[in-house]
Amino acid sequence: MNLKRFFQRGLRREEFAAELQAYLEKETEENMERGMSAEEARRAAHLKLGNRGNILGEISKQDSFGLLETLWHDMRYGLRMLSKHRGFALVSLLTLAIGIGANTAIFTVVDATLIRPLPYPNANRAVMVWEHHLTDDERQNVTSPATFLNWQQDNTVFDQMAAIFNDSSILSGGSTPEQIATASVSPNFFSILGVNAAIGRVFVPAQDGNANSNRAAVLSFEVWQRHFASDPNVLGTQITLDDKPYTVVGIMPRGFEFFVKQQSFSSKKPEIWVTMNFAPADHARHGRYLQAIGLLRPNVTLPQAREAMLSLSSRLVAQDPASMKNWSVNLVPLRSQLTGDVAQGLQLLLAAVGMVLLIACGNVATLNLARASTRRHEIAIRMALGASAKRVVRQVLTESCLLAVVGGFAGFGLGYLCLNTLKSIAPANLIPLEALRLDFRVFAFAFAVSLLSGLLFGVIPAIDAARTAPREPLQEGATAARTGDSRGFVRRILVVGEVAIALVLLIGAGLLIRSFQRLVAVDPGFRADHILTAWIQFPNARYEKDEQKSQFFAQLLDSIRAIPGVRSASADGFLPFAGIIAGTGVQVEGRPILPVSQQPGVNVSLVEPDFFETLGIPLISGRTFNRSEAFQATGNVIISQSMAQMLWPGENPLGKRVTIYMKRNNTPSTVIGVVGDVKHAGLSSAVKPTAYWSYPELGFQFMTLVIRTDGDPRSLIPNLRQTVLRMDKNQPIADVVPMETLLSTSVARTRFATQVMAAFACVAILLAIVGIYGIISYDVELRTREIGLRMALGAQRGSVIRLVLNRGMMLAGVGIVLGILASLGLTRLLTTVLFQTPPNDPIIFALDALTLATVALCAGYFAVRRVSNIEPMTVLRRE
Amino acid sequence: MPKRGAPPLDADLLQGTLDLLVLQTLLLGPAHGHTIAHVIEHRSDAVLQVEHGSLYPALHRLQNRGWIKSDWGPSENNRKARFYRLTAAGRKQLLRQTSRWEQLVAAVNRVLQPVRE
Repeated sequence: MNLKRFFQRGLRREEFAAELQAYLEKETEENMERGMSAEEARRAAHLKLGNRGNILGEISKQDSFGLLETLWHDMRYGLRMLSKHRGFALVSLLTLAIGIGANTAIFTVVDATLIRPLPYPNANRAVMVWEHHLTDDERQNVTSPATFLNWQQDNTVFDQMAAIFNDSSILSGGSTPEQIATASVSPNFFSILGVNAAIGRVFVPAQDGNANSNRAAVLSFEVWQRHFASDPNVLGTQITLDDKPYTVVGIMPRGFEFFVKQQSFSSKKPEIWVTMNFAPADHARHGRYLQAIGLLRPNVTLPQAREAMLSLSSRLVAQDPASMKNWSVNLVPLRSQLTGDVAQGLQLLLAAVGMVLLIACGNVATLNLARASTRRHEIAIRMALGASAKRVVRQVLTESCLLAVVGGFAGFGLGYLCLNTLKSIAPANLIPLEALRLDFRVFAFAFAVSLLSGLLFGVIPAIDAARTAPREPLQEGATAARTGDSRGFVRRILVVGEVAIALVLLIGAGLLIRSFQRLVAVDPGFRADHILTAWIQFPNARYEKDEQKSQFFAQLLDSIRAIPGVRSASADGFLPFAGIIAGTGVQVEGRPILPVSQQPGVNVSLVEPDFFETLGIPLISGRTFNRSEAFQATGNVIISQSMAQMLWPGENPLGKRVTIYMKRNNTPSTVIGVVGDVKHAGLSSAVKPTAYWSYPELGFQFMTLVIRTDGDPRSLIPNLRQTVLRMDKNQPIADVVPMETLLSTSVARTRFATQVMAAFACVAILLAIVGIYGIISYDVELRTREIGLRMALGAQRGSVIRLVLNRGMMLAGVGIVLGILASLGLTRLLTTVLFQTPPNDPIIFALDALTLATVALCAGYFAVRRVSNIEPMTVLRRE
Repeated sequence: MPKRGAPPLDADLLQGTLDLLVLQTLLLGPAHGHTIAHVIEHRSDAVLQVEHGSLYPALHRLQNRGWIKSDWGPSENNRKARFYRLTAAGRKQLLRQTSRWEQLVAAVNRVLQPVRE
């Protein structure tokens, strides 16, 4: 095969055509000489020669790249057909673009979060090791130094283990101090992940591995840029964290991060790492606050490691039942740890978006089938002229794939737009936004999906076309009505399926929306509007005496109250909606002493005066703290309503005394007031009994300022910073956010999932409308003759419309019933994400079914209106 | 020997043979397509009753291999027609193919001879 011949093949074809013509003339002449009539002679010559088209085709084939050539022909032919049926092509393309676009966008998210390898070389062998608290089934509980050290020494399955504590520290020096997320890690932490520093070095056990060397720091690339102006000379210099000096030994590569949120003290990803080494005394420390990570030995599988660690854990329980009873161990691979809570939501979206694509394919297949029926004529002619069934199938499939690929390109573009929308509405920390990009992999995915859907929606019409017996449609005439044939049956199944899937999506979205409405309607127990909050934390070394700290806060709050626009100001140890809170057991004075494991549990927080007034938490009885209690521990406590009910049901709790086990001396506190309950852990959380002490009782190193303002709380921010710096020029504030932001962030993930599902449901309905409209209007077209006849015989237009509409509605009805059945099974998967909404909520089911039925009816009605254009006489005359 | 009226042989089976026959025919001198078709049909006692059309792809193929060449010229009744003639390579190919064909026929004949009992 050579290219010259390939490009000259047109010329050759002409030459041979001329030659065949010459043959025919010669043969005809000879035949006539033998005495045939002219007509007979020409016919005999043609018979002798055979099919001219096939001969020329045979010759051209020798000059072409066979398969490619056919493909090219089919494609050109397909394009011609598509441009001839513009309406069909446009609707199909739009449908496909929507289906593929949505899939592309969601795939990009899935790829970035679940598929792409974690950026740690050892990620596949890295495992998070948690304690498992059997009594409340907390499977991922932080561990204690004592337990961690036991694990580290006695395990047989890990190459190495490291402990992690996510903290928050003040980075001072430079113009303004900054509150920054830090992590104390064992010196082998980085080698467990298998990562190295971009500049300098990471921690090395040999150099940083003794208790006296806890003074090395590794910076993240981002903090290096932001705080140190990307100065490479920062290596080897000292930085100050919480007033203590650290030597910078390395800077991590751009983008390196490691943050496991589960039970982390700080809720932000650390930006500076410092070493954590244990002293012999730590073997006896049983307070649980450490995360642990291990690197599996090569050839050790996860189940083996689990088994070994479980048996080690039961030995530890036997050795020290006092602190280890009811504690076991739990291993979680790093990948599932980091993607676990996102994975479920994404799988949901993936399923939903897959359904959208199915509907889109169903739609295009229906359209294709409808068109294939009108195309029977064309295909019959092609087959009569010698096209093989194989060839026709290929032609139809090529056309479908062409459609799909063009649709895929449009979808890729649409996916790009979707992704931007997704990025703008996605809550922070849910998906790694910077990792979201349309790269080659996504393109390949979109392309594959397009081709696959092309085959999917093309194969039924293709087979259908190949079964066309050439004679039948040619004799019948194209408009003859054929009801109840297999083609119509397949189309009906497709529409029923579409309606069913659309209903499943609609019900899913309906449930999520209902659940979301119920969630945001929950009363958090306080008024979040016009509240600014800010985290403030002292370095350990600065204010050592409790009086100093009390003094600091009292003064600070006074100067904040003096800022114009501030209505009231206070502070809370553990702000609602901001994360953790301390918890402990209590013992009511005068009642039998209970063992620790049977004591009622309560949450404990510290507050400054005016706290309840500022946040708008109602006082139910008694009084709140006064100004003098901000300076002195008086042993008074204010309790929440649920705590009052738990400890003194039916009694007046005021003046009662209760020991709350958190202070060193554990003397009983006196109840002076009862306040309303607060949903501390989020709108969907259960209310927990809570005790509030005044600040001096425990004197935390950190508090959250709570300020009620007259206007927009954000406008107060600069003034607030100034006020704090005037008090102490080395004291930063962090996490300065309006309370309403915290509230909306807490439901951001749910809102996001709901929005996306709702969008998918809308698209699904839209596509189903197109499907129903398409099939009914096609039905009308096929049956024009029958309808015309009926009307000619006296049928009323209205009754004919009803007849056709009924048929469409039957399909919709079957689809809706199937959709309800499928939803009953599928929505159970939503149980864990739904809030106070049963997954088979009959109201939602009824409402959504009704909506879909109405929509189907409208679509059907618009399609049926064509009937009114049918003129009986015209139809009959055409026959 | 097959008789006249026996079913014509399959064109696919004959492709290689057809090439041979075309070359053989052209050994007599240049000819155009119509003539070649009739000569083959006539000389084979009408056994090789292929559609004459299938000759043309064969001509094209032989030409692409350089075994024959073609020129446009006037036919007997002064129409424009394409004449094919054998090239040197074609002549060589004919010799080679003919001897291979004879070997093949001899071999097949030996196999097909009735077995003596």
